[in-house]
This record gives sequence, C-alpha cells and structure tokens, in this order.
Amino acid sequence: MAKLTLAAVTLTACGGCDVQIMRALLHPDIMESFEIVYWPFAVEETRLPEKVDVALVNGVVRTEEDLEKLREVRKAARRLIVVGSCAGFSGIAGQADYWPTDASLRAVYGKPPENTVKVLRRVFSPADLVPVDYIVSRCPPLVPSIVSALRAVLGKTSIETVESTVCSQCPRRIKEIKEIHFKKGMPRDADPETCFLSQGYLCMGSVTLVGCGAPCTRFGLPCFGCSGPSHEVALRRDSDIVIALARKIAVLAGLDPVEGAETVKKKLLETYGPRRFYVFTMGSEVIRTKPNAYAVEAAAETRLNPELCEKMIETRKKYLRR
Amino acid sequence: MPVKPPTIIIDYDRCKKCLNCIRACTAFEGVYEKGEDGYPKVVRPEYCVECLICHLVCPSNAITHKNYRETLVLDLSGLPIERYKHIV
Ligand code: SF4
Ligand code: SF4
Ligand code: SF4
Ligand code: SF4
Ligand code: SF4
Repeated sequence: MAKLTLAAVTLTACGGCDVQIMRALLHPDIMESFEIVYWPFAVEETRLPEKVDVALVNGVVRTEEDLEKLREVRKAARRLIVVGSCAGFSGIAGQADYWPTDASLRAVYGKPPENTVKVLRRVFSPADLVPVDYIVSRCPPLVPSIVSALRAVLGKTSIETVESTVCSQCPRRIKEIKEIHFKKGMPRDADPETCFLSQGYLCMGSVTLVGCGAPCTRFGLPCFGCSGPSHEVALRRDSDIVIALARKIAVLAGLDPVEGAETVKKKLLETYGPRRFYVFTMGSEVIRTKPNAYAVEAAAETRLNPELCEKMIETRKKYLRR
Repeated sequence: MPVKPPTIIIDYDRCKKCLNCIRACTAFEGVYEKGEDGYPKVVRPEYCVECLICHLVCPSNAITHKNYRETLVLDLSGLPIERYKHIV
C-alpha cells in the first residue's frame, strides 16, 4: 500500500503535543504507513502541500496567522485530527483569554512591541472553527490515543467513545460527605485511598471524560479536567461543569439534588472562584455558549479588576528578571 | 403512559459504590437498594418515574435506562454532538 501523506501543524502551543506526536509516529506500523510531508518541528519543508491525506493540528488559534494556517490545512487535508486539549477545548493556551492581550504583551516586553503578530481578540480552539474527524484530547495527549486515531484513519480500528468519567478509573473510594466545607490548595494531608471530594478537596474527575486512567488521583493530585468535559456536561444544554459537579457533591452530602446543588455551587464559586473550573475549557465554545456556565465570567475577572492585571504584570516582570 | 417499566442497568465496572443513586432516587418506594456487596441493586424498576436524576448524580455515569422516554436536552447547535462521536 502506498504511504499516506501526513502534515502536522502547530498553532499557538507549548510544544508538548509535538513531542507526543513524535513519539506516536515512531510506532513501527505508523512509520510504515505515513510519510511526513510537512512538520516544521521535524522536517525541512516549509510550505504546506495543497493536498495531504491526514493532518494533525495542535494548539489554539490565537493570532491571524494561526487562523490562516488552520483554514489552509483544513482545505488541504482529507482527514483532520486535532491533538491535545488546546486544540479540542482550548486547553491551557485558552487561559490566555484570562488576561487582556495588551497586559500580557506589557508583562513580557515592557511596552507592547510594534510590528508584532496580529493577536486576535480572543482565543479559539480549532475544533470550534473547522470540522474535525477526530479529537485526541488531554494535556499532553496520550501517545496510544494519537496512535489509535491514526490507525482509525488507516481503517485498521474504529474508535468508540465511552460515556463515562475519570472517577470510573480512579481507585479512590468515595465516602459520604459530612459537611459542605471546601479546602483550598493542594491536598497534601489527604488520605490516599479516599476520594478527594469526600475529604473536602476539589476534584473534577466526575465531570471529566474517561480514558486517561486517572494518573493524577493515583499520584495524589486531584483531577483538573484535562480530558475535557464529560458527555453529561458537554451534551446537555442545561448543564455545566460547576453545576454538574455541585449536584454530585450535594447528594454525597445528603442534600437535595436540585436545591442542595445550588447551595453547593455557590459555595464552590465562593471558595475557588470561577476560573478554577475552566482550567482546560475557558475558551471552548462548547462551554462558553452554555447559559449556566461561568467560563465567560472567569475570563472577565481581570477586565473588571485592572489592579489584578497590574499585579500580574509586576509578578511576571520579577519572574522574567530572575 | 408507559406500560412497561424501563430496564435499568448499572455498569458495575464503573460503579464507585457511592450510593448517590439510592440517596437521590425520586420514586416513593425507591428503585435501588444497597446489596450485601455494597453495590446498589435495581430492586423496584416498576416504581421508576423516569426522572433520570440518578444519572446526573452518578459520578461515573454508570446507570443506563432502556426503553424510557427521551428527556435529554440536547444542544441544538450540533457542535458538541458531532464532536463527541469521535473523541479519543
Ligand atoms: S494540549 Fe497541552 S501539551 Fe498540547 S499544546 Fe496544549 S498545553 Fe501543550
Ligand atoms: S472525584 Fe476525583 S478522587 Fe473522587 S473518585 Fe472521582 S476522580 Fe477519584
Ligand atoms: S486525572 Fe484529570 S487532569 Fe489527570 S490526566 Fe486524567 S483527566 Fe487529566
Ligand atoms: S451513583 Fe453511580 S457510582 Fe454511585 S453507587 Fe450509584 S451507580 Fe454506583
Ligand atoms: S430515573 Fe428517577 S425514579 Fe428512576 S431510578 Fe432514576 S432517580 Fe429513581
């Protein structure tokens, strides 16, 4: 069989996805089946061909150049796979929206530089802008997941999504919640065998898509939701990350699933602030367009509070001087 | 009106034994009961009012109802629906 041509495109990203793509492409059967025709990270060719069989896209659309590149690759590619939570749900790079662009530029360059790239007014995840064939979520995306998406393109396997959450793969035991009180910070004093929620710590496992194997909660860290929102949260118009999580916590505490959930939701937002719930989804249209979501509120925090911006700029400068 | 009670299936591979389903069930008699092994059991499916609250309080999405009325409020923009068919 002739090899399929493959292009990998990196938009505004951290480089982690490229490393994972590299590791996936080193699988013998993948190496045999694909020919890399464009990938600035690894091959010399500087122009995207007009036609490619498969494209892997990672990162978010942050600049006009990103937008142009995404259009170009969508037009060229027969199959388009987005890789990483940035490309699927705006991910960590979506957090850029938390700061006004000029504040970010000032923090790094002192004063906004001239003749720089044209930064868009907000961040978009590629999956919100163009039709995609597969999403390989997570941050960083898992190598076996990238491999199975590529094998699916070859027709070797089919991909079935599982409608469950991280909790189903987490070994921690969920116990009743005695009192609604949330603790901030990392759960250093938490019992390693009991669910974080049962111990008053925030964990997003129950509203996050299954598939990672829950490495974080096994290691002692709560889930931050890098897989993206679970089916319940994403597909129901009336749902959202905070309320879906609050409902589960409320019932664990013996409260009513409707009124109790509202009380818990308030408490959660008071304790952690809205941003904490949208670490990987702040720029996602799937979440932003929900009437009950707080993603836009989270992003607006700095606009409403210029002092916060100034403080960030100062911290950033100090950090850069080190 | 429904004549046949829904078939309620608990996926015990996913179930966390949190018993949220028992706590939240709307039916007067309660559809679920805690079994000896600590897992919830479907004991009175005929009382189920098909509110599906048990789905929303389950942390691992372990409960499925078959032959119940469709109540899911889908996002009509179609955006996430298409996407969620092909997620790895
Ligand atoms: S998904 Fe994670 S690893 Fe990939 S580009 Fe975004 S931040 Fe980096
Ligand atoms: S909420 Fe977090 S700690 Fe608790 S079972 Fe789910 S993934 Fe594990
Ligand atoms: S446990 Fe949560 S944060 Fe950790 S890898 Fe899984 S989805 Fe991502
Ligand atoms: S709510 Fe879900 S996880 Fe909890 S006991 Fe019931 S079926 Fe199991
Ligand atoms: S659908 Fe409602 S009544 Fe039926 S088992 Fe679930 S909570 Fe109980």
